Amino acid sequence: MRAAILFISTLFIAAFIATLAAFGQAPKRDLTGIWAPVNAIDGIAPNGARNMPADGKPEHELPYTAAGLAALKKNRSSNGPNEVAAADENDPAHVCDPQGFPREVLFELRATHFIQTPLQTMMLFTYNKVWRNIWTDGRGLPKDPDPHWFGYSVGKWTDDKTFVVQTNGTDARTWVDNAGRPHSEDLKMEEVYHRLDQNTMELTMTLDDPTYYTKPWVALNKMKLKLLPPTTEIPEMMCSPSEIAEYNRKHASRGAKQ
Amino acid sequence: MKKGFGIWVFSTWMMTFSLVIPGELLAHHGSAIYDNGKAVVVKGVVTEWTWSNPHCLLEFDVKDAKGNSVHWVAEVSNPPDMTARGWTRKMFKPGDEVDLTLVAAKNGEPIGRIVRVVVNGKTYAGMGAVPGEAKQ
Repeated sequence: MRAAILFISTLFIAAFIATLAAFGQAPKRDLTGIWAPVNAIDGIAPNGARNMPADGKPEHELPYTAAGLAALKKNRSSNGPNEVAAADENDPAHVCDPQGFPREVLFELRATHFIQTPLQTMMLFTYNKVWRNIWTDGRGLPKDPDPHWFGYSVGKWTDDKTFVVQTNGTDARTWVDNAGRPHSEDLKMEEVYHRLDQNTMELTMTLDDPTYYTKPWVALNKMKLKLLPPTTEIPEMMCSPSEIAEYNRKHASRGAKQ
Repeated sequence: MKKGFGIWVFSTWMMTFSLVIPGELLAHHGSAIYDNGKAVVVKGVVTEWTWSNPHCLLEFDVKDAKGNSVHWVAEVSNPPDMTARGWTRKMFKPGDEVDLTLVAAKNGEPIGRIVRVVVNGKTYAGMGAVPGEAKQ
């Protein structure tokens, strides 16, 4: 009996110590691991960027230029206050075009695997099993980049806990977020990954697109991410054209009938 | 005690508490087509269960007031989200009797979004809250 009590007590103490250790200092200049938003809804963000959702509130109105507003009106989203029936929308991601960047982070951001090498940091995303690379070898952004779905990214550590990423060269066919906010090829972005401790970091993302927006705006403001166990099995979540077609045939197209 | 084990213990606890995903989500497609203020309660017989993206679909037949069979198609979210709610790829099979609470299309088409389903004596939460009912 005494041995059993001693054994159980030891287990509890071990678990307590292990948990305390988990709160310890973060490793320096290292984001390696599988991270996910602390609040799942922050990453999924169906109505648009977490800190500027398309919810009709005046404080979330984006500072569009005339060109930006015209581009917005061309995007028919099936989410948000101006949503249309699924059969009437024109979301490029719903025909399985790449979400691209920044939408990959502003919509359906789920478990994301960060891998660091001496030359680059890679982010492997759950949604569609796509990845992006962020050069960390000291190079700058290209001055006249060709557009790419995920743009061109460079990053550097500004202190032991803060990794700052700059991106340009994105493809204007992609939407900024799930609400259909547009962007031009002039879009530049800054992401700040700030590690708070072993298990937590914050992500702030600012978009600057003078062609479509009169001033920079903050899409994510200190969104918290948590470190998942290294054995986390990331579920498969793919956009399949045949599955989309079947969903539209059986369901979405019927909802749009007048 | 290795630090890595501590991380694992803590993270596992954190993940357990964070896997619950809000019920209002239909991340890829919204709810514009639905009459979200009205719950529709039906009994049906399953004909097909499709466990796939972008949304899982349950097909079932319902007898209307005249005794005619009406074929319904109702959606929930994607497999990863539904897995987090305890749903599985094999939870329905053709011939299963189901009690469903839905929100249905405004246009009268027999399509909907499952808010709650009872199958084989077990109740599962679907998407969103039952209209007119306090959230669970």
